[in-house]
Amino acid sequence: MKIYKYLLLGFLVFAGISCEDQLELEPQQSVSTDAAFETLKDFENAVLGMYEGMQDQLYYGRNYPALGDASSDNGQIPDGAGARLTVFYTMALNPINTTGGGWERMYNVISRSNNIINRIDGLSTATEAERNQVKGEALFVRALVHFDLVRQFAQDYNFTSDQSHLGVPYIEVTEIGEPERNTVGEVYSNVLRDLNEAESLMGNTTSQEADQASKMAAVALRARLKLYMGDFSGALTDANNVIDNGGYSLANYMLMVDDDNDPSTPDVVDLDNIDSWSSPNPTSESIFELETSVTDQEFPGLEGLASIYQRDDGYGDLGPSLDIINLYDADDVRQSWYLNVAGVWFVEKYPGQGGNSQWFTTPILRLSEMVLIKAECHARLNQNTEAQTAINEITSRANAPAINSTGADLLADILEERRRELAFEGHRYFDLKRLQEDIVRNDCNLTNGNCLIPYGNRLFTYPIPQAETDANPNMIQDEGWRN
Amino acid sequence: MKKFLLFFFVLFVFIGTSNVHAQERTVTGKVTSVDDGAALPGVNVVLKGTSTGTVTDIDGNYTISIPSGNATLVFSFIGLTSEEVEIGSRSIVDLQMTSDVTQLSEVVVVGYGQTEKKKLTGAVETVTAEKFEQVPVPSFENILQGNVAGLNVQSTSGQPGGATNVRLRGIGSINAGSAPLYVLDGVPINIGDLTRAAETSNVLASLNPNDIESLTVLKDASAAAIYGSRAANGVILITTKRGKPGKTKFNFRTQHGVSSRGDDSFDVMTASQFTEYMREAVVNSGGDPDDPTSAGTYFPIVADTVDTDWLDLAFQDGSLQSYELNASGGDEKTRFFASVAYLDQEGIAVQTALERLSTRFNIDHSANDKLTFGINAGISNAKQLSRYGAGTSFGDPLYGGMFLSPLYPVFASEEQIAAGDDRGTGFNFNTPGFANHNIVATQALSSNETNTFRITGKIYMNYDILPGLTFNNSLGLDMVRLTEEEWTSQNHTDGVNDGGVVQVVATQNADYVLTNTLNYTKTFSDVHNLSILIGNEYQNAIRESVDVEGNNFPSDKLRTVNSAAIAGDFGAFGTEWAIWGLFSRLNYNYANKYFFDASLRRDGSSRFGANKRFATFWSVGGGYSISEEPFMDNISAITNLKLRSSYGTSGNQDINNFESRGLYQFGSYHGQPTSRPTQLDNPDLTWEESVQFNVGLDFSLFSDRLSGTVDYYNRTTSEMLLDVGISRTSGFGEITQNRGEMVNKGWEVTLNSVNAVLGDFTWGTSFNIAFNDNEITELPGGEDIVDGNTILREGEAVNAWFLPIYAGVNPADGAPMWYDEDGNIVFAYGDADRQIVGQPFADFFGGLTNTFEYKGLSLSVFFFFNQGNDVRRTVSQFINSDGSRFGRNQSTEQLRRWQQPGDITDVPIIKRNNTDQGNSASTRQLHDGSFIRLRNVTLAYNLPQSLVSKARLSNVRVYAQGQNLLTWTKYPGLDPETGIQGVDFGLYPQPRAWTVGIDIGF
Repeated sequence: MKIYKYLLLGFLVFAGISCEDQLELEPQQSVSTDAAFETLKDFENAVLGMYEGMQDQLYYGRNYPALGDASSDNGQIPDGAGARLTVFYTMALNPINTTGGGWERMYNVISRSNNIINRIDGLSTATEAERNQVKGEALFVRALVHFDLVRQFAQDYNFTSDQSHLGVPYIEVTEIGEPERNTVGEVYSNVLRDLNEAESLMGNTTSQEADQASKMAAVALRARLKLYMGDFSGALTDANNVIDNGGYSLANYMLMVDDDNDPSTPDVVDLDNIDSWSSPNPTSESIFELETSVTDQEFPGLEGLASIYQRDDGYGDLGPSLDIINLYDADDVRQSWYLNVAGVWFVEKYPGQGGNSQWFTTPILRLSEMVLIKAECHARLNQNTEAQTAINEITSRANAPAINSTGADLLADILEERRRELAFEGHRYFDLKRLQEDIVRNDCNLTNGNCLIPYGNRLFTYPIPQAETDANPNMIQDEGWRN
Repeated sequence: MKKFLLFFFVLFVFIGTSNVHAQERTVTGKVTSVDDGAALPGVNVVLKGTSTGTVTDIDGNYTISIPSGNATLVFSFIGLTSEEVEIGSRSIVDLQMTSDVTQLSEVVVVGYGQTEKKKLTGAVETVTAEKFEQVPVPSFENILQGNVAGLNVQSTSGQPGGATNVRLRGIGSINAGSAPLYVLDGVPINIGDLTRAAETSNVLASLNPNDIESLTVLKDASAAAIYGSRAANGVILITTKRGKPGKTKFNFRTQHGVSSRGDDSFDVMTASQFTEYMREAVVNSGGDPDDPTSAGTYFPIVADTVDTDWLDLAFQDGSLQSYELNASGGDEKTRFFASVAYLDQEGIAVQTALERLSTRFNIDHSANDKLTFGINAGISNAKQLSRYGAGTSFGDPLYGGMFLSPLYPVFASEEQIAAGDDRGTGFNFNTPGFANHNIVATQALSSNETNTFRITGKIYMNYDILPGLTFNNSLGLDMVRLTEEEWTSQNHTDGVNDGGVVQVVATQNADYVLTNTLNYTKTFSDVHNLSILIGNEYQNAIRESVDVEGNNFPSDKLRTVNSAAIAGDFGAFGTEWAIWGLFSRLNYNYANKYFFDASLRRDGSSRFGANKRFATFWSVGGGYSISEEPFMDNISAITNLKLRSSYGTSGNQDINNFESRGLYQFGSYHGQPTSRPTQLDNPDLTWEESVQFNVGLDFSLFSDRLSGTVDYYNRTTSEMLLDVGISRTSGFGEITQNRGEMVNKGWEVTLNSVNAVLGDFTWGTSFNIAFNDNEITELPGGEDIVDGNTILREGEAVNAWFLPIYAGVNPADGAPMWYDEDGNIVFAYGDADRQIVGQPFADFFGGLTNTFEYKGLSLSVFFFFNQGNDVRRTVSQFINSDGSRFGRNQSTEQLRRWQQPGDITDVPIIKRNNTDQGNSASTRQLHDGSFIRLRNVTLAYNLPQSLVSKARLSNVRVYAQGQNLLTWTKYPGLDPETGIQGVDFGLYPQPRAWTVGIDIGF
């Protein structure tokens, strides 16, 4: 039967050109996840991709450092401000509106680090030292972001004596899952473990540019972590390690310039050099910071930290309260971090590169914080002289009155100096929390009762976003935020 | 490609060796008409039971080679009764054929083939060339509006060459595409708006509608499932004209027309209305209208001599001219169709036009009685002009036309010119509050041009391997090259800071389609008619694009980026997808009375996840020609009655190209390259599946005076692609999953009648109507999905309007009021509750055409109607702003505002910088979008044959027609025809057009 022969032949021809291979297409602007991790260069791109992710306006590019001051007694909403940061200040928080973006963004950065950590060991084409540096940086970032998450979305470390209260899920393998919240104790011990491993792996003692993590960055972060845990001798050891071995030196705040070429008038403080964050280069005390170049494709730009504080070259959405303004001595050069325009105060700590607020640097770890940790730990360990010596490195640089008190007064003075020095770098809310102090806002006209937030109030944690608890039944909302 | 080349090689060897002939003899003859004895060209002459055949030439002669021995020849021609002639040993067989007025067996194009209409079990509707040959619209799918039951065709803009939304039997998907698959002469083609910058553009407008012979809409599973993973939203088959053997026929046609804005009721205020209105707004907010500080900078008191009607300046008189010449003909061996056409259309909004030059060649050659091959090629270039900054800038003629203050003059004053404020253009740029835009200046100082160069075509070959067994192979191509150029003069408000801006986007879409089919047809025992098709198809679609920008030009005369002093943004990207399918179809009928068919298709798509890349689609259909039963012979009123039904599945793969992949993209950090995840791996992502049931009845009564079709369908889309929230600990907020289900069900009725025949006068009517009911039946977790002012909710129609209900104006103080969900009146917008208040899709729509003919004169009147949809006139939030958009011109509807206690009105008190939120999204902006439109009236005259013959012509037709002459609607905007989304943000209305034309055949 001829016909059937032909039909059969026809079918064979059809079947023979199965086009399964033709359906394996690859995108051109992106690559599949596995293809993104084939060479050392791929991994190094991914490492830089973590920092780029942290630079997002939902995280270090704006919101995270801003909320650290907005949600404390440092912040105030200036007249005529936009609404970008208002909720962080009013603390009219709810699970729906406030924190979803930052929460997701932070876990996105964690996914970037996990994709590196869980693949790097199989990279046979790189040396062990190269692999270790990559993995160390990724571990550092994973530790930092989880630490930031637990600082924002959980009560402080010593809220319960055994740290059994709810923290955040510590994600070591990124996948679509329904993870439960780890306890705060577990999160801190995981952060500590990752930092220890990061310190041991990283070959770079310091990062020349401070724009990437280094061994010293891991030690510095661990100093902060131990301070938060109340492990003051441990924190002191790490802070001293950075101070003594990091090769950093405190930046010079006293740089005066002749503003008018007239020797008869007094010189003024050089605003563009007083701070660490206006030049494209790191200062002598930068340990780890996020930096921008004018050629970068992805950065917050005008939505970023620099623009959000200034009004003359930006939005001026968050300003300083009079509480913090009045805290500086009349001769303190750090007053030039603030600018009064027609009776309204703005933060000028981030003028941006060459005065352009689109490009700026976000400080995360710097030597001054290590010196402040050193002073605080000495004071807590009743080592008054050592504490005074350390804290007066900070005061003398700022042309502020020296601190000579002792005992409890000394500790209080050191903490006040810490507030002055680290203002608008995102520390104050978290410091008040670890110190278990009330948030007392004197320069405050809020009508929602949030001028005084007593310690232990639910506002000492941000609520887990509703979208998260909706999608993940294992994600338990913090007690104060349950309906 | 290697595999394909190998395949071709195998194929040709296969064909070359199979050409074994049995002993043959030749039969010749002449076919004439029984009526007048004239020769009949083009009659099919087929050896019965085989596909061996030929067609008669211009003189009615034919020659056919048949195997020796007895045989039967079948003679057939549309409109004539088929004859079967036993030829015995004769070598000359002449035949006289009779016309068959009742013949219904018209041939319709179906997927991968054609069939007789009477054999269909599916819902298929065909629109032939005479329906649209003279209609002056640039894109053919607009002609389908109101002519195919169930096919909802909505223009989104009156822009010549603008986009059109086409939806068959309701909205089939939420997040994937809902447009049908378009297949041009067997090649699936690109549709929609492929531009990146233009406001609206329709790539189908690059095809000349007059090259099309017929459009066939495949509605149900039986008809469409053979297209598998792309058939869920229906299939539209486009068949272009082909030559027939015979004398070469020439056709020349030309059209000339004018168009203008229709009689809509929409207007904005004059200067005196505006002044009074704004002064009242200042007073109501406690200010002094004569005090400049309280009146504000947006309300300059200009000399009262100025009264600029900006909206009027946005419109112009449109025009249309077209010229077309085509030729068709050939002989038994070679047939051809060739056309060249030119269209030049000016839109009714300034800055809009379409100019198209197109040509087509379709050539078929029969190398011998087994092998036919041919080539189709359509080449066109369409140049579309679009408005500057459409819908986004005050410089846009329509947008600015609505908002610009009538107190601003068009031209600069002498003082301004002396001061150089006009930048040498003579225009007034002092229009604060409108970013210093002037829409008349925009026309002179900017342009936005999209050039679409397109080649559609294929080469094919048909080989009759054995009697009844045919192999077909074709390679199709659809190549679209788009060049978009936007120029902003250095004197234009938006170009002055950059010294002029030129942006160029060049995009190429190239689709290649390779199709092979084997078709076997045989009749057993005279009553068992069997046809089997198997085939495969591979399609690869590649899209690449480059964009560049240049700033700071030495002169407005130079408009290429090369002349720019400063390079601007640039970019480039590429993407592609591929699909491969294996398919089969079986058709069987018993004595042309009982019909059965089944189809099966297995498709693989590059777009879907590795775990779910392949899927199988199928359909079954059955038909029963009741009128073929002997017991029906006595019922003379019924000439045709056929019941048919089908059930089957099809899919929808219309999502982004790499949506199933875990992806990394690249960026930079501190000047160094970075990589980052942008999309999670989604290996289970697969097709949306549509399951459709259809039952239909075809009937023809009273000697075909009344015929029609009724269909009922129920289409369930399941595995719907929805974005589902996931734990953010994955680093992402949502992922696309196959969740969700939606049902569209409805009725379609088509009726054709001959109402009156009085001597030479006939009156005929065709009418169609379609009802569709859409309901979401499942969403992930049963949760509502709210997107702005629309909602997806189980039990409701897709994208139902979700808005607070406006309760009008408080007569006591003129403040706006709303309802909360308990039906209580509330006085603050924040207290109002959003509720489902309507939906953007029509309950029913259809068309009604009446045709009157008397001798050579004919008049056709076509209405389109659309009932039950709600349109959100979002532009009302700005032009009915109650003073919150202080200083911007307002709709004249605002003249009926509340002014004193006791006033009963729906327009609140107006206040400068009003914060009552009366203009916030609510049902105040929601309107009934129902309308009836007198879409087309054509009066035509066919010159008498005696006259035409003297001029050595074959036919001459002159005609005049009007488009969109009348519209009945309650809708208060520029045009109720808003597109499928039902959102009106200052639409470009459909023009009213008058056209005259002449067709000459020779």
